[in-house]
Amino acid sequence: MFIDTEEIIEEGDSGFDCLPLEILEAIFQITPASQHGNISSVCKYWNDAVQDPATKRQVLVDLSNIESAWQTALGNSFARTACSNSSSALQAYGHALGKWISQFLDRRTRSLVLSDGLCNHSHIFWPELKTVLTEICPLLRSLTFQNGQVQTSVLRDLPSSVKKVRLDNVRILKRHAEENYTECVLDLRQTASDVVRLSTGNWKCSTTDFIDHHNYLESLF
Amino acid sequence: MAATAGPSTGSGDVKAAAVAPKVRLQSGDKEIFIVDLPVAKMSKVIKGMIEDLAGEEDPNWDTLEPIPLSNVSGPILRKVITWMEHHYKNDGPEPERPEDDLSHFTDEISDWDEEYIKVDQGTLFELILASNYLNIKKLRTVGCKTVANVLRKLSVEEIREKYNIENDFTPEEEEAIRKENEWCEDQDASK
Repeated sequence: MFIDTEEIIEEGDSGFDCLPLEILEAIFQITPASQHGNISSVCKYWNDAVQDPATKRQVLVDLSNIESAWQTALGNSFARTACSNSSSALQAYGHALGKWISQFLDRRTRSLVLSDGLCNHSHIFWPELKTVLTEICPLLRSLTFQNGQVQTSVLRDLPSSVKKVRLDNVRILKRHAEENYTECVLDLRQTASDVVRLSTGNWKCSTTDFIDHHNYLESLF
Repeated sequence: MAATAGPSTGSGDVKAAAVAPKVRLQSGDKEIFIVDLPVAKMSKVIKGMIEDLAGEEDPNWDTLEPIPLSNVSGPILRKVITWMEHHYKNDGPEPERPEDDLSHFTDEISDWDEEYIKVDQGTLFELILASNYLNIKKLRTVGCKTVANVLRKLSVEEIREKYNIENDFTPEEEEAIRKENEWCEDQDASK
């Protein structure tokens, strides 16, 4: 599968057809899953690569545009309802979010990255989302939260198949009482120790690497 | 894509030696590059080839024949060696990672790598292919991420145009795929 050097240079702006399937898959795994629809429409080879089981093993879901998913799923009134913190609306949101994410996943998915758009209501919709994840991805082994905010209660309540959780640029919130959150963790990438510790009411967690799920939870709670 | 994590032999000896032994790498177009042994070993494939050639005993590095890398051209091999030298100096040898360790998945591209990978498209694809062939995972990820970052900003037509890809779907097939992905595209349209 290797093309002669000069050939590529001469042809200039082409070359995707010289990439073997495994590289296409590697590229598509780190492209947000919401973009996979576009990618599979490009040509047959790309469609095959997106559909290939190997691509589905690792999935990146970018939630930064999730607000429009809320609106699609629940209507525009949702934003107002969410502000009023209505549990039933957020549960409905969790369900809709789970359904939306589930289209990108399948039984073979072992790694999921939830990126951006993670909000401080995560604990309310999490149970619904967790149910979907548990049903669809029995093999889900590692879960990464990237860019945003996550509740400690979410980290306590992960699907049982998940062995590794990674927090990348995530603020962990601990809920003291209704609608009262303390930010406990700052940018995790600024420090590089794999120690999780508690200091005067605030959770401090500092690691850039995967944390073994169980050890992590033991030390955190 | 199995990471054949061979036993890491020799790294202790290397540290003990006052001057790191050097190996010669030969590109597909017969150019010879002289590289520090631990740097060259950042490629799992080169590492394996050295172990095959050198055998169990501590070999005479000066007389060891060049490692043939027929799938990589001289200019690309030079660029790959630059990458390996920089990262060996700054990060040390690439850690052995289990196959299902996906931490590279979310790693950000460092500033140095971002500068490094600012190359024309042909070179970028060749670097990805070379890093795949030589099994240098981190470099491969840098290349793949660079491509992914471009793809995420483009529409279907823009992708086809940029990469000169022919639409080989029949109108019916295209419609079927479009229908299947309708919900995703709705999300994207509102971006």
